[in-house]
Amino acid sequence: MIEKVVSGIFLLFCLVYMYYAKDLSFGSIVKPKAGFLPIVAGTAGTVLALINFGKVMLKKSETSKSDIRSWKRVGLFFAGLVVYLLILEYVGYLVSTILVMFYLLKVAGTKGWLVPALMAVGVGVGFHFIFDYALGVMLP
Amino acid sequence: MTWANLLAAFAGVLIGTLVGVLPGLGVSGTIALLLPLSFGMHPLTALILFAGIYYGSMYGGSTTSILVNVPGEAASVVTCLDGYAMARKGRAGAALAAAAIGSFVAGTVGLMGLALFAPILAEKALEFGPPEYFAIAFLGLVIFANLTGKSPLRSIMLVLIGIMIGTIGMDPLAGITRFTFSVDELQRGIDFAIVAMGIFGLGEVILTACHPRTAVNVQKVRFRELYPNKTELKRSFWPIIRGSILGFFVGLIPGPSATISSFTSYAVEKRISKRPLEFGQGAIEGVAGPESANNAASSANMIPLLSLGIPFAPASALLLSGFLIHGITPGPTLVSSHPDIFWGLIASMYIGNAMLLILNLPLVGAFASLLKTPLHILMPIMAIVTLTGAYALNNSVFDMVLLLIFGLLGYLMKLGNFELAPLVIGIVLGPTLEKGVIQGLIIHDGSIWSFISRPLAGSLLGIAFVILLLMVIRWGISIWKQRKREVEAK
Repeated sequence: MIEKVVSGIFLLFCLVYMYYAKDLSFGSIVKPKAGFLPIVAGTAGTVLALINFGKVMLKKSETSKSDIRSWKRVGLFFAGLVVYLLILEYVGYLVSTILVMFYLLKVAGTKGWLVPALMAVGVGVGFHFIFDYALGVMLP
Repeated sequence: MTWANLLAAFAGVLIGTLVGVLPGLGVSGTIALLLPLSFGMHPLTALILFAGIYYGSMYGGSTTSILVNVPGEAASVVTCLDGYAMARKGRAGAALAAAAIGSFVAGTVGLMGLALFAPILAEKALEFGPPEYFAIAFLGLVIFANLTGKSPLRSIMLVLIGIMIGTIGMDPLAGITRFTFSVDELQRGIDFAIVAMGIFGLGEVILTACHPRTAVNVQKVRFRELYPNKTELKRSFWPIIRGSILGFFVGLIPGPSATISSFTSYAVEKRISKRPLEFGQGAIEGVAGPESANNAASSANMIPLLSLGIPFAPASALLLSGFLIHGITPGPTLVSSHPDIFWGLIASMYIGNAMLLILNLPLVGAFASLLKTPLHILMPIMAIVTLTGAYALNNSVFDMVLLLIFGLLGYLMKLGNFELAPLVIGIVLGPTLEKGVIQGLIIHDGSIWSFISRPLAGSLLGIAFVILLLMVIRWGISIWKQRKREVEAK
């Protein structure tokens, strides 16, 4: 199933790429332009992506119960990372890191509340110090 | 050699060994994760750190192969065959010592080759023109696609998609923006470090955090058992020498050369051994040879990177990123324009190699116990490090968005059994390919013959086309055989 999804993603990417690549100027063999490599690579890539997608669609696939449970965890983990991006510049690096770190620890399976909370604070403060003070990176 | 550089060498080899020990957290992902942390460092110090991680991981991979029968790195897969068998017979210490000594000798041989050949190749490369760079990049991509993964068709597809991703942003020659969709941040293209951090780093983090592995049983090794006996040392000697030389030359080939060299060495040792039946049951040659080969290959991998500026493996592509982030362009002029960087790096690799030998044997128990590290704590931390690092590159939340996209893609690709490396190598080598072909065609008035008539470019392109033809023929034969089997089954 995953193989089909990924193959479909690559095929879709190639088709969208070719759709926009056709607007670039190909030039000629004597004077290749900005569209030269995109059109050549895009065409070859699209053909291979189509063949790959066809081969994969002909295969049988199964989804087991454990896959579904893992997917839920993946979805929650990824959602946490997305929320991190959304709140980062509004709440600031330190607070957003502590909150999201706590959430991710719980999603990943860390038991209890005190240990994840302490770890989240430790990581937030530690990374803030390392990146902001030690490395001189300007964090939100 | 300053104290900062020595410390960086030590930190690099320690982290590299840890990375090699922990399955899943590959060397490419680790270098990608640590790239942003190197910002405040002197360029040489940062490069010493990354190089230490790179070859240190080869040492670490053998530890888990021998003690747990789980390869920490792909290049240590074959060590499981005889290494674990030796451990079950109570000879884990001898296997670990053979791997460590072999890695040290091979690393030294590889570094001597690097110090000898890289400057010579760099000098010759000054005569290279766009056709030569195009031919090298093209051949590199073809060989890489041929040697990586089970399906060459899929590998080529991924290389092409990587090339397509590499065209996003400003055209390097005409200055026209491509595929930016009016997004300002896309005008500078997609930073390779972001792609690597996403696909190798975050993708692995999501996989490991959300699909926890079962507990492992680690074989115990006492310090006094670490030394092989006279017979084992004698039997290891020639496999180490052969593995070093073989690994060095295989390491020059684009692709997963460390892995290929270890398998090739195992096959050679088994073929020429007087005790071939012992292989798979605990033959020390089956540990010494492959472990030497993969270390020599990792040193040889640095030659095209340092002398041509062309990486042929994801890890060396990330080392390239490390160079570029610190304002240094590896290639033909590196030796002449930054001799301190070039020779400083090689010197640090000699020192790091010695550090690895000293570290790995006494601390083998400590490294093996790392396998019990609670990943449900480590992985969320790694996720935050990665995202922070992505932000730190350009102070841009957009880079974090790209990181998430590539992280999700990397996760799905791993689950779907897609190789990650071809996509990444396509992104890295695509611009070299494009510049080479367009500049070459413009300079020679569109004459493709000019590519073929130049001795080096023509030879390399000829080899590439022969390999492509063989791939097509092999694919055709496999389809025919499959149809025949289906008909016979009916």
